[in-house]
Amino acid sequence: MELIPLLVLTIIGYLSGSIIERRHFRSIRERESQLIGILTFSAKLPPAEDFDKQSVLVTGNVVISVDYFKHISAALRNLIGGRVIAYETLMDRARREAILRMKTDAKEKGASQIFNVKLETSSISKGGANQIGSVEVFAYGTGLI
Amino acid sequence: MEYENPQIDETINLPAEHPLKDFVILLTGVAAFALATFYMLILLADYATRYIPFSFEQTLMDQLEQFSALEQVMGQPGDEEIEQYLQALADELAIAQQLPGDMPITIHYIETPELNAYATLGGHIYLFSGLLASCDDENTLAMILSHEIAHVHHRHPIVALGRGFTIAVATLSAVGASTSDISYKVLNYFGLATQLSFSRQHELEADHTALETLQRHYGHVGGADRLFELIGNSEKNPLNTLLSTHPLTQQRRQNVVEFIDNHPGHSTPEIKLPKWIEQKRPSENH
Repeated sequence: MELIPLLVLTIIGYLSGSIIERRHFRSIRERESQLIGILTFSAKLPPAEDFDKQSVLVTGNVVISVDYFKHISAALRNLIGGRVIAYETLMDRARREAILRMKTDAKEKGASQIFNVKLETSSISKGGANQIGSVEVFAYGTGLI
Repeated sequence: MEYENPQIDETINLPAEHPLKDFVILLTGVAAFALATFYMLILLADYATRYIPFSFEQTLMDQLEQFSALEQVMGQPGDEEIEQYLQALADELAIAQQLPGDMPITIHYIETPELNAYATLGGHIYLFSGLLASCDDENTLAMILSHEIAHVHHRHPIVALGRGFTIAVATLSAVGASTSDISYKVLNYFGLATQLSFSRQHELEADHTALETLQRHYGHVGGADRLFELIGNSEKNPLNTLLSTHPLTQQRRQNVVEFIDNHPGHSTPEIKLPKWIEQKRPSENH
């Protein structure tokens, strides 16, 4: 039966994927509480009193891969329609990780505030058929030292 | 003004449902819907395909044979004299089965050690030398031929083709034409499963007609149980750890026993195959 290798991959994907995801979320929560002092704003300009501060570009980048279990869940969901739950946790992880890395970059450069924070998401495999995709999130902003 | 970034509440973006539960619900939903739809489509195909005239099957096969496509797929043609003998036997059995005159049977004897025989479109029946080599008498051979002729009689080849085609079109419409997609693989699996369960019905129908043919032609169905012994033995693969025979073969054997109970025949001894066939055919290798 050609479904056996598919089944094996799905089980491996689910087990390893869920372990990795749990660990990642734990690490994300830890670092978020550590870096809570670095403020992020989506506003373009800082308040007038900070105009003379030194500014620097800070960035954070992360690429996370989809495991086979998520891939199959999403494929089935694409047949039926509705929220693709498997990908929601993936996107949340990726976004928060990218922002954390941007905050880390800011901390190293001595910035305590980041303005004009923007996020850009892209798919590495561009959704090719039967390819396991990866998602890349890039966070960037202006750090004020 | 004092600013601070608060700790974000995780229940906003993260789903409450467990991914595994979601997956199981999705899979069972897709399975149930797919099986129900395919079942309906097969019933529709069964009804509609019978309106395709037999002459269309013949034309299609003639065109295929022109390009020798079938020979490449099926194998090397076997001995001509054996083929003529088989054709004569098949014609006798077709008369016994009251096959309509506009559905001629064409026998093809193929040199392959496989223990198998196929009935395809247009009344073409392919018998492999491996199967002939395992037959010890004319009655067993007659059971095989009658079974295949019954498939032709009941239009099973075109119906099976119609079913497969309908399922294929339905699956591709649902998924889009990329056959490497995972959703295609899942739907295709359910499509095949539904088709297989229907093909059992065809086999049992052909068996019943074949038994009636044998009864009419010989007065008893002596070769039939021997045939299923053969099939049962060939299924016992030494590499196969599951020692039970295929459930379909068991059921077919059971049907033969029931038929004998309902049609007590005068048992004439089985007719041996002509000597020159025994000499010409390839030796059994079991």
